[in-house]
Amino acid sequence: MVGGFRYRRSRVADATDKAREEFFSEAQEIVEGLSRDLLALDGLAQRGQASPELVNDVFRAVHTLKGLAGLFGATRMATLSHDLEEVLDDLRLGRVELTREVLDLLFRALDVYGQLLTLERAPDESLFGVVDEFLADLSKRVRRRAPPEARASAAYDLDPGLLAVLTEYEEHRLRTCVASGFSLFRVRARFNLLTIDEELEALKTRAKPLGEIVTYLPTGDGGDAESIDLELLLASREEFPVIAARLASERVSVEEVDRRRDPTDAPPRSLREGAALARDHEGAEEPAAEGGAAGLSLRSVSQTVRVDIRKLDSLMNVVGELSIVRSTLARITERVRSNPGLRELGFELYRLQRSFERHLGEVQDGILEVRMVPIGQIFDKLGRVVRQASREAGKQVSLVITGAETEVDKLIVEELSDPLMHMVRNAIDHGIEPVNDRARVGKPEVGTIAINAFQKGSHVLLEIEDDGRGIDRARVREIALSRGILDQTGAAELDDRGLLGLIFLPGFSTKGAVDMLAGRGVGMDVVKTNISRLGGVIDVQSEPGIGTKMTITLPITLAILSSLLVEAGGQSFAVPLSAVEEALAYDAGTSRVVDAREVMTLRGASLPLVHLDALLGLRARARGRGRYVLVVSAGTRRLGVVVDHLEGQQDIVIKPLGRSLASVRGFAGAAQLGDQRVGLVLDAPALIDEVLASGEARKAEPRAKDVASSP
Amino acid sequence: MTVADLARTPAGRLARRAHSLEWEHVTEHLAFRVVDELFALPLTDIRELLAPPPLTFVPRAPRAALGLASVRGELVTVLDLGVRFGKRAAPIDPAAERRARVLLVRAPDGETLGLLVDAVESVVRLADDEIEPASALGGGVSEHVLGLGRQGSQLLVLLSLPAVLKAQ
Repeated sequence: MVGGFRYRRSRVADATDKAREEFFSEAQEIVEGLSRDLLALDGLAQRGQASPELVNDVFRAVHTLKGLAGLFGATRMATLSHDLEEVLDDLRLGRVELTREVLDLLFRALDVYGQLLTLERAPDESLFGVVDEFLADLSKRVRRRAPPEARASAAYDLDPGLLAVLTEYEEHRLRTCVASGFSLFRVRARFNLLTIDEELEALKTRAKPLGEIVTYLPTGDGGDAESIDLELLLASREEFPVIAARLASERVSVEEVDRRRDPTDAPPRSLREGAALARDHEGAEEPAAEGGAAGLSLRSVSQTVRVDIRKLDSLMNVVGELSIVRSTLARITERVRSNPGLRELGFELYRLQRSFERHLGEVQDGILEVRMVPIGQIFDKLGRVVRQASREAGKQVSLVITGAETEVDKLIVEELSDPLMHMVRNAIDHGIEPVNDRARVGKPEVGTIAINAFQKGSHVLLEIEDDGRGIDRARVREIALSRGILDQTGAAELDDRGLLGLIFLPGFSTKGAVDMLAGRGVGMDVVKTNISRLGGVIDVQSEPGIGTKMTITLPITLAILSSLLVEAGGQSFAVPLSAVEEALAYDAGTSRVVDAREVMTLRGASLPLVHLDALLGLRARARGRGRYVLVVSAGTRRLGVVVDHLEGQQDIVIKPLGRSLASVRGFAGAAQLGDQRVGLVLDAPALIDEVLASGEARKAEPRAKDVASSP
Repeated sequence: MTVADLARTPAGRLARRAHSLEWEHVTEHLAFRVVDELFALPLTDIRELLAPPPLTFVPRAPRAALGLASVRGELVTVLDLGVRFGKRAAPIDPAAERRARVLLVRAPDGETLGLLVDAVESVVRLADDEIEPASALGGGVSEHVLGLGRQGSQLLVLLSLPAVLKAQ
């Protein structure tokens, strides 16, 4: 560490002597002020008091010194100030307590400032050793910091749950009050629901002269249909008997919140109840007096934890394994229950299994919730992209974002970043017109890209909308023809939707030249692939002259998928429930074959059908009755998938297929189904694409199924 | 070391063993049979030996991909080396082959794969002068053949794992 503090000989080489003199005198002045403030802090601390203002002043002084030192190349002073600033910042934010030790450190730092000022004037290499030693010491201290447990020790024995719900302002007030030597009182009051407004007002009026109401919250316990219990946190300079005498009543009880001594010390004294007031007067003044020395921080628990997403993944894997246990347990329970001789055991097992199921569900929900982050995280990055890209393109674009708070799985947010960036660049490059063109058609000069995120059921929808020129259909058709993506007959048959869909095909890019923005060889096909990898679908709508709107529909989480297990060709497959609209009994008699495509009528509309076994090239089972049609959908497109059986619903943890199977289309991954079985998860959007695009079920080369998993 | 021992030896120890021998210019190979031919892979490439686990057939997969297995929660694609090397048209049924084994290997991209072989024969120590490079066989040799190992009358086809795993 010491090596990093090498004295810079040219420290003030380019500053005039006058400026240097000014630096010294200003620094000297600040150090003197620092000294006064520290002494005042020390004096307060000895009386068990603190002053946030003073700490803040010290912090600011050191901050100023840091800036000055940096300006004049006084490296050691800059380092010292920088490290001190860290300590003071922690102090200021209550992360560190102003203990004797910390004060000593600050005073020593003050001495070092003095030495440094002298040395900067008349460098004497031999004396730097002492300074460097302190700097190394300090920097070690800053890096080591107090472990969280140590600095989280609260001055008060407050319920962490209560602290957790305080707003930042309330917490600040609380800290300030405690720092100014107020004592804390917990006032529990029962209010009649009908008259709570007046009663609470009355209580507040009575409490006001005594101090400050930091917060009031429902307690969650107590209360009945007609009443509610509120807990007020009151900070006051008054002592317990006074407070209790003024506030306590039949429906109001007062407790003093104990100051905590050393956390390793004796357990906190029990709280004195308002009822016990008469017996216990003495000692009421004692907590306030001794509290200061113990530390002045109220921040008892750090309220956020940073967690590596992989740890959550592995937890989720455990939950996945437990889900399998649950399924097995459910099966066993069913067997036991169907045995008349074991009715009682069966019932107990059933209760146990239900309880397990419920708790497992809670664990699962909890982990999922932890994984959720606001989607707005990526929008910040987009703002920069828009600024840069619009400047490069010589266009004016404003980005309007709504729904940034919508929560999505962390992994989705990460994977979404690139596609979104690409789409926004596309919109600027191909959508928004140059300023002159916009003026000519009477549009505002500044183009708008609106991004709107919102939750819809178990999906999150993301709309990326621009008010540009829209997609030029004729040009799309022309390009598709020239690149051989489409032939003349195909072009004639395409409807508008199909035409727009062409932009998602590989090798399609509507702009002739490769430019700095969108034309980097990655097109909308990559966007689409990325989004479908996340289990999402993308849809495009475009009005010529008015604008283009892309809609991305994404699942909220990737980790656990509710799925329907189906059987086809003697093999089990999982279909994500989110893609399944309904399941119907299949009746070959009611379906018709139109142009080599099997179609059935569902509530007045035609539903194309595909037999899963045929589609996947599996050996068909005997075509008996009892088959089902699974109606799967992606966006507005629907497909009926005919399967042999429905096996039931199961939550699965989906894992991607390895790279060796990357060329295999139609599966989103695989999942453990229990009994050591692995099941493939159907990629519904891909199947729909495949079937509807090719016009008929692709004639997969039938391949004898020599190896079955388990029958 | 017998094959039975090998199957119980953690991959790390195998790797260390093989490594410690390197300075003598002797390398250890695992010899296995596919249909009628003996092949070998460096012992360091093999993480584990398994009896064939239950497999899930993957429709539309390349022919050599026998199916998916779950090995302690990890998804593993199992390839039939017989099909991979063009020695048989259709995969064998591993459950019906008493001696069939799956070699767990890690592909260069980190994916874990299983290689189904008809039987594992032995661990063979080959000194450098017992290995002939593939070029000695003349042109037209498959890319996955690294060379030939010769011990007495025994002839082994030494394989290059990355080439074996390359897209089929």
